[in-house]
Order: sequence, then structure tokens, then C-alpha cells
Amino acid sequence: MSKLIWNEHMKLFNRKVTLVSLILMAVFQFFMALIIKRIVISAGTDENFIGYLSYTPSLNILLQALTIVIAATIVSMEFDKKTIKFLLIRPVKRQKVFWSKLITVVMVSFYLYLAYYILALLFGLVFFGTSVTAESKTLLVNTLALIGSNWLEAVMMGLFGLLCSSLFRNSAVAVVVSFVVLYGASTLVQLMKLFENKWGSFLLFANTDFTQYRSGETALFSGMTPLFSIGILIIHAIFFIVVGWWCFCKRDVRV
Amino acid sequence: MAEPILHIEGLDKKIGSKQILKQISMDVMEGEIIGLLGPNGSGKTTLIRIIVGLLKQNSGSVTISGFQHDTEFEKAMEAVGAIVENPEFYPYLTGWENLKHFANMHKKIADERLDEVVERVGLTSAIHDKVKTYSLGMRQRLGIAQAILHRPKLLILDEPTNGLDPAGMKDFRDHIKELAEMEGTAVLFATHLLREVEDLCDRVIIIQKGEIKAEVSLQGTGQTTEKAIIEVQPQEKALNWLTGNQYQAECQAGAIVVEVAKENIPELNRSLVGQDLNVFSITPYTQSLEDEFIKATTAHQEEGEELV
Repeated sequence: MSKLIWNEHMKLFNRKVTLVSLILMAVFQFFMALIIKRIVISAGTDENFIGYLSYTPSLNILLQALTIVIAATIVSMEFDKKTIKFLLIRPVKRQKVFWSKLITVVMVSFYLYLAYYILALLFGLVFFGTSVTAESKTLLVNTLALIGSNWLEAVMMGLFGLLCSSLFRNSAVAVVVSFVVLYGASTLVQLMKLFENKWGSFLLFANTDFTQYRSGETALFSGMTPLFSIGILIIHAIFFIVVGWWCFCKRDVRV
Repeated sequence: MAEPILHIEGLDKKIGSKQILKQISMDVMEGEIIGLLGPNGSGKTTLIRIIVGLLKQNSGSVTISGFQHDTEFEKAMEAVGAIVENPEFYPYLTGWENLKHFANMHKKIADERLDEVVERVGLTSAIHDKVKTYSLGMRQRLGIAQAILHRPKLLILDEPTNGLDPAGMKDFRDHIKELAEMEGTAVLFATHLLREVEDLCDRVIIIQKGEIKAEVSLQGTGQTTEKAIIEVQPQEKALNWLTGNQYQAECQAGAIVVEVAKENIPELNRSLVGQDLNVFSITPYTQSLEDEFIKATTAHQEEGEELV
């Protein structure tokens, strides 16, 4: 199994999307640091690296998008390039190949977050320095909680991307459908909230943001608890994995 | 009798409502090169894909090296190397990385074995280049390399010379022959090109419309009943003389076909000339695979099946 995961890593790290991700992150970070620095200077206030770090999650959408692209292409790419024919005629059960891909998606989304926030730390240190204040510690904890919760959301998106990848077997279709459905679904949550429809609480993206349970904040829909959210997440995850697994393992390969 | 490497029994496959394969049964023995010959759309590729586990049959069984496909997939596939249609690789990886990737999916294959295989297919100088820079011939060779990495007992090739130039085809055939001889690998070779099969195979299975129509052994064809085609004038007189001298002869399309061993042809020629007959040409006549193929498949031609 570890060899299979290694294989997936090798393929991924040699693809252009990985390099592009890294460059995108660095460029975005640079401009964000520059803009925030200007704002800070023109407002005449001071800022430190933890303060900068607390702004950076606003670009998490980039990390989620990259996770979706990688997940949506990890299976379908094999079909596009027809390498799937050579992958599935090895003495390895299909489900093992599927699990190796799933684990790789989760790991890669983690690398993306790690790389992004290491960059954020570096840019923060370079541009804003280390003059921490008393509130910095709480700010740091809150920021880390936000990042963690957001990563969980990215993993759920990745699982859905993997499902689309196994279902459509075409990377263009898988990527587009993943994006449309996922961003449609998060918009739906806002709509449900607007109309205060209580069924909205069962939606995936109503439950991915765990910062809503912090003290002093109100949950999106009344009656929601952290445990409820975890339950909803697990149900979604199982559903995504089972459907993806079925599509990958049980269908004929005819490319 | 020895146990077959590949044993297929009563295989049926439907795609949608269309019956692609009907009751296919066959055996492949060790070291045998078997041609699977059939027109396009005859079900060859479907059969190959079931054998390598890309498709699932509706009924029947595939046993490879004694292991049932359905229950012991991993053990069965350990004995199989395959190229299904064109060899496809990850273009953004090097040849070596591609091989390593596939080797990782088998039980322990040492890097030395990779080197050995690469050398064997003659890719040593280009193996660390990205596959996107490879020519089709080089990809084909890398295809062979990935198929023989784990020393399979059964090599399955589906239209492997599609898109190769004549030199590449010959190169490819030589590789396969060498493999079968040196490592005792059984080869199952699907193609629609008669020429390839004739050059390479010990036995040919002709498949059409999802059914096995005929099995032809190629070793010994032409030796049991040796015939010659003689172009001779005047024909009437020659035929009379031949039948009068205990030759089995008949008229066929403006020439005479005579049953005669090759070593007796000069003798026959002398006699014919001696009879004041004008001999224009004598050519050996072999009941070719093409005839068998046509014979086995003509019954269905009226349905518009594309032949060769």
C-alpha cells in the first residue's frame, strides 16, 4: 500500500499542476503581503506576523480549488492518458488503487495548506516583524482553528472531487462538475440561511465551518451542535467514498 | 498433459443488449505463441480485456497459471504481462520512472532487473528522458519492457504493432520470438493482420462475431500436402499427361495445381518439357492461412463484416 501511495505522489509531483500551485501561492502571498503592508502604513498602525497570518485564510479558496482540481483529476487523468489500462492489469486489487488515490488526495490537501501557511509565516516575518502584542496569542489560536476547520472543508471537497473523477472518467468534466456542484452547494447554504429554512442545517457546507461553535458566535441554523456537524460530515464522507469506490472498482474499463 | 497457463471456459460477455462474446473456451500452453485473429469488431479486444481483468465477464471463467481470476485476482495477474492496444505511459515521467511505477505494483522487482529489461529492449540511452519525447517505436519498446518486468508466464498483446512502420514491426516480432524461446513465455497475440500471425504464431484461433470459428496449427502447414502451381501451355494436353502419370492434378484459374513434393519438382519439370509442353512457371502452392481465414469467415460476409 505504501508503494502505491508513493507512486501516486511521484505522479502528482511531476505534474505541472503542482508547480503551478506553488507558484500561484507564492505570487498571491507576495501581493497580499504588499497590499496589507500599504494599508497598515497608510493607516499609521503597526502589525506583526501573527496579525498577517490572521488575514491569510481569506485566500483559502485558492487552496480548496487546487485540492478539487487534484482530486478531480487523480483518477480521470489515468483515463484521459489511457494509463488506467496499464495500472489495473497489475497484481493489485482495484480497491487498493482507489484507497491509495484517496489517501493521496487527503495528504496532498494537507501539503497544500502546510506549504501555504509556511509561506504566510515567512512573508509575515519578512514584511511585518515579530513585535507581538498581548492579543497575539488568542489571535494565533483563533487563526489556527479557522485554518484547521477550513482544511476539513477542503478534504470534503477533495472526496467529492474524487467521486466525480471516478464517475466521469474525464478530467475536464470532473473538474467542472466538482466546481459547479461544490460552489453551488455552498451558495445554497447561504440561501437557506436567508430564508431560515431549518433543513439547511443538513447541508454539507453548513457544517464544515467549526468556528461557528466558538463562544460568542451563533451557529448558522438553530439547533446545530458540533456533534451534529461531525455526524453530517461523516455521513457525507462515507457517501462520497462509497460511490467513488463503486464507480472505480465495479465498472468495466473501456478506454 | 501439462496444465495450461491460460484456461478459458464458457466465456460470455454482453455489453448493453449486444452479445459480444459467446461461449469462448480456449487453452494456452507454456511457450506457445497463439494468434488471435479476427476482423475488427469481432470481440478480440473484449476477450483480451476480460483476460487482463479490465472487463468483467457475464459468465464463464478465466484461470491463469492455476488461479481463478474472480477469486484470486492478485495471484493470477502476477503471471500476466500485457500491452492492451497502444502502450500508454505518463508523458511527464521519464521512461525509468514509468517502469519503476509499474514495478512498484509487483512483488519486489530489483532495480537491476529494470536495467536488464531496459537493455534488452534497447532503450538504455533514452530511459531517463521524459516519455513525451519518445517516438512511437520507443514507446512500443517501453511497452514490452513494462510487460516483461516481472517475468510473466503469459504475455498478452493486443494489436501491438498498430502504427508501427515495417522495420518497427519486424523488430517487435523478433523481440517476441526471442522471449518465447528464451524464457518459455506463452504469448497470446491478438491482431487483424494475417501476415503477422503467419510469421509469428504456432497456432491461430480465428474469432468472428464473438465466436471461435476455427483453430489452425501453423507448424506443418504446407508440408503434409505439398502442391505446385504450374502455368503451362497447352493446358489440356498437360492435364491429360499428368493424370495419365498418376499425378493428382486439377485446373484452377488458368493454371494447373499438382500434388508434388518439392524435391520432385525438377523431375516433373523435365518430364513436362520432354512432352513438348511450354512451361511458363512453377510455384509452390501452400494452403495459406489466408484461405483458412477466408473459409472460416466467409459464411458471415454477407452481413457486411469488414474483412482484414
